[in-house]
Amino acid sequence: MTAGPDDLTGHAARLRREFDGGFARPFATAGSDGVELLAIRVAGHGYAIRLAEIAGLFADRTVTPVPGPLPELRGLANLRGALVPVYDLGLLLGHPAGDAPRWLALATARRVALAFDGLDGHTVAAPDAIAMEPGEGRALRQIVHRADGAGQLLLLHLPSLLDDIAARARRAGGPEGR
Amino acid sequence: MARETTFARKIALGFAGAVVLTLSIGAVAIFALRSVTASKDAVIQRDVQLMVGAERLRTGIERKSSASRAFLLGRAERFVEELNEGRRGFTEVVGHMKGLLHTPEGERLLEAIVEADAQHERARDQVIEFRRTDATPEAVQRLWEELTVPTRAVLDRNVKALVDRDEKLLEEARAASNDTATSAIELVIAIAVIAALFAIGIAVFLGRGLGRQIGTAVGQVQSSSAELQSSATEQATGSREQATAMNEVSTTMSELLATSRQIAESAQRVAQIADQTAGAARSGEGTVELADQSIGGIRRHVDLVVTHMLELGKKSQQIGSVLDIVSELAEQTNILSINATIEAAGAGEGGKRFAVVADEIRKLSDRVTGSAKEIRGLIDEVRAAVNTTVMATETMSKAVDGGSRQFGDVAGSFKQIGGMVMTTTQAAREIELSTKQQTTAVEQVNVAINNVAQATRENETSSSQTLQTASQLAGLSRDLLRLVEPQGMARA
Repeated sequence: MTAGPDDLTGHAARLRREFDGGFARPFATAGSDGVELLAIRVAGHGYAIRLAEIAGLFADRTVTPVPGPLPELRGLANLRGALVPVYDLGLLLGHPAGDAPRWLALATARRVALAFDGLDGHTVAAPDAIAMEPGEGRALRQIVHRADGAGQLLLLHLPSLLDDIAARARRAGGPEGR
Repeated sequence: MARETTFARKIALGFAGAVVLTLSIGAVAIFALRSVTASKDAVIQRDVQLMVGAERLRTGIERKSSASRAFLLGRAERFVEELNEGRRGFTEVVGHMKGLLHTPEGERLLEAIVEADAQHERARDQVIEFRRTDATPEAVQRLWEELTVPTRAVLDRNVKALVDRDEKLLEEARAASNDTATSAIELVIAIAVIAALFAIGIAVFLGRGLGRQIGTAVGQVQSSSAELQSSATEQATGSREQATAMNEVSTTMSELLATSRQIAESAQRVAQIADQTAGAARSGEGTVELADQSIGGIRRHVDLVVTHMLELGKKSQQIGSVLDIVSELAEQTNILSINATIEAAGAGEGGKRFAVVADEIRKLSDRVTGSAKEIRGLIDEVRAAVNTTVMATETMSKAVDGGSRQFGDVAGSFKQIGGMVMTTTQAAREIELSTKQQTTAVEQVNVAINNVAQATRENETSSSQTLQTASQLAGLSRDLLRLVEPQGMARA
């Protein structure tokens, strides 16, 4: 673990080199050879979200609690000038309630934000790395094998998850994401 | 009372009684002798002188008769003178006898003699005058026989009567003197018999009393001599045991003497080693002082290290604060790049280039985040190391303090050691001196013990002699008891 000053200096030089080298490489289409994913952490478990299914990522935003028909509703947050309902992804996935999640992901399909605990990073998965997994709900039907070989992540299908929320909200007669 | 009276007093009383009786006998004898002497003296003084006077009268008569006859024969006048001389002597004798006579009968007889002598003288004078005449001797003789012979016979008869009376008186006086002497002798014999009886009684009394008491005393002497025998036997045994013990003690004292000499040599060596130890302690004290000074320097350096380490901890904290900002910036950059990627995906073909840039920015931010994490880890390590170093340094500082105190204690201990070693040296020298004195004393004790052993052997010999003497004493007491109480011995 201990790194000497020479290692740090070499590390910094490598960063500079790669950063500069990135501008020298030709443009390549990101989506042509893989699926862009966000690796997140919910209640200590690793999940993945397709980057194409979210409209924005936010951290440390104020969520104002409001009463609602669903217990997963955390409240309302001001994201890019609009008030959007924030649902706790951990509660939606059946995990017990924990501390207030720090991260918010704004969905593309509906104007709803999902709160989760941690962001593990942006990753690109090869198409063959995504496999179908027989799950109980529609939102959890696939798994992603991580490129670094460090296990696998459950790939969330946000539109299905959001449709379930809307359906439950309608049944409860409360507000729903639009 | 008899028991309280001692032998000497009894014997003295007995002898005193015997002496009193003897003195009484002597006094009576002296009295009797004096009485006898006085009566004899009286006989001699008076009666014998009377007898002598009577004889002298007779002699004077015969002298006058002779002188007158001589004159008648030769008619010489000198015989007349002699006759007169005889008459004067006769008269003196008569005068002397008058002084001696003390009875009327004697005086009468003497007067009769004087009267007869006077008649006889007258008759003689007539004859003498007749002779002076020229008468014949026959006439003179006839006249002599006619005149003087009868007067002479009368005179002789009177003288004889006086002499007879004197003889009778003398015999009476002798008889009286003999009676006195006889009574004195009888008295003396009686007193002597009484004294003899008294002496026999005293002898019997004293003999019985003394025999009884001496028997008792001899019995006690016998038992005492038996006890003395047993005591002497025990003493002899004890003396032999004591002699044996004295020999053992003497041997032990010899060993003690050798041990004392070894102790003296050891004490001398201890004193030498203590001297060397004192030098080493002084050297150690100096070394400890130098080490104490070095520890003071170490302590100052440790304090400096602690100060620097605390400063380093503060700097690390400041670095962490800056790194927090960097991490936050990297995270914001990451978020921004992700959002840019999302936006670029919706921007058509033009957005693809932007997406590439955003991806590069995201990668850069990822790497910055990773580097920040590494730096965070490094800083944490540095802070942990600083904390560990500070704690270790504080521990070391405390250890140095403790070491400094311990060095102070060690220095004090070295001083105490020095003092104790000095005391030890002094004590070892005193021990050496004392042990030498003890050696001398033990030698003297050894000599004394040898003397005591000799005395014990002599005591043993003396005890044997005492035993022998006690045996002899027991034998003597038996003999004495046999002498005093033969029947008691026979019973015994």
